[in-house]
Amino acid sequence: MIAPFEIAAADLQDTLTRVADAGGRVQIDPDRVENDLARLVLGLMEFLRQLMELQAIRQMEHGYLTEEQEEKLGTTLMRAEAAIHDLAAKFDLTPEDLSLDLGPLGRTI
Amino acid sequence: MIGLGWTSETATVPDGLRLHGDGPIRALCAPTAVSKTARDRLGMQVRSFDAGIDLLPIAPSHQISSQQAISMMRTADMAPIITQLKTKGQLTLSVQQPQIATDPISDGRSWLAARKNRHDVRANQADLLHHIAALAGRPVSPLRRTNHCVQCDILVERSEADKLKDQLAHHLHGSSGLVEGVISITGLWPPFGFADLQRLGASAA
Repeated sequence: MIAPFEIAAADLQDTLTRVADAGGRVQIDPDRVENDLARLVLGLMEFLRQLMELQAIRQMEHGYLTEEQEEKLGTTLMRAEAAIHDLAAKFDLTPEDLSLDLGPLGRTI
Repeated sequence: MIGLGWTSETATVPDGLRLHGDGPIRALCAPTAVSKTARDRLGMQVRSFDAGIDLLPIAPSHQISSQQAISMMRTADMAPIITQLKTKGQLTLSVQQPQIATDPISDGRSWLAARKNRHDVRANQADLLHHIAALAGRPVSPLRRTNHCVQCDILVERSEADKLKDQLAHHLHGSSGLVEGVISITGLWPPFGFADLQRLGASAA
């Protein structure tokens, strides 16, 4: 008989997110092709959106943007994020699910 | 049965667990009925590790059958990494960001400024973890991020883990005001952060 084992919730969360998890790799399951493709496509879209967000922040830090440009860029990125998350939700995907594992390159998000 | 990891140990395993295979490396497996959840699997991995079994662990969130574990054992060259991890475990450094409810932002400038602040906070946290981990002078895993947490692992000999943990905890305490969030060190854990299943050929399973 295996004895019960108690672990604090925070410690459990720490450990369940180990990099040894191979489950995050891009995989297409014949039984759930739509979801897996949605995850792949939306993951790439979110990755590109985050790159644009970083670029916008960099430009803002360097003072390259007018107030009007900051407003326009910020609004666009904010709405793009909401749209991607809304689409993901339709496939039962959370924002965390959009993180894609690119192997040696690491994760996209 | 469900695979928990691989080991070169031949010692007695905790009750309910079994070693499969007859070569120098064996798969540590648990009955399916008691290893259905990631929490179940983690508990048994930690119990085995605490019992002195050096383990190349499978991530608890990844459920693979004992057949798959045995298949991987036969197709992947696990000996080098098992040798490397023998007598070692990991300490995990974390910065946990408190979840604070904020008013939704509706204008673009404020949103962009909030994102800049978030990136700055995260960069600061990453710098601190890199700094503390470097003090350990041991192998360190790449940083991992979740929405509210950034972590890294330090590979350490079992025999020196307590001493190192105390030293790092002292540094963490002194650094607690330098970043947003709660800094902590946990362990000793099985070396999850240094068991790269993909490098071992997980797809072969």
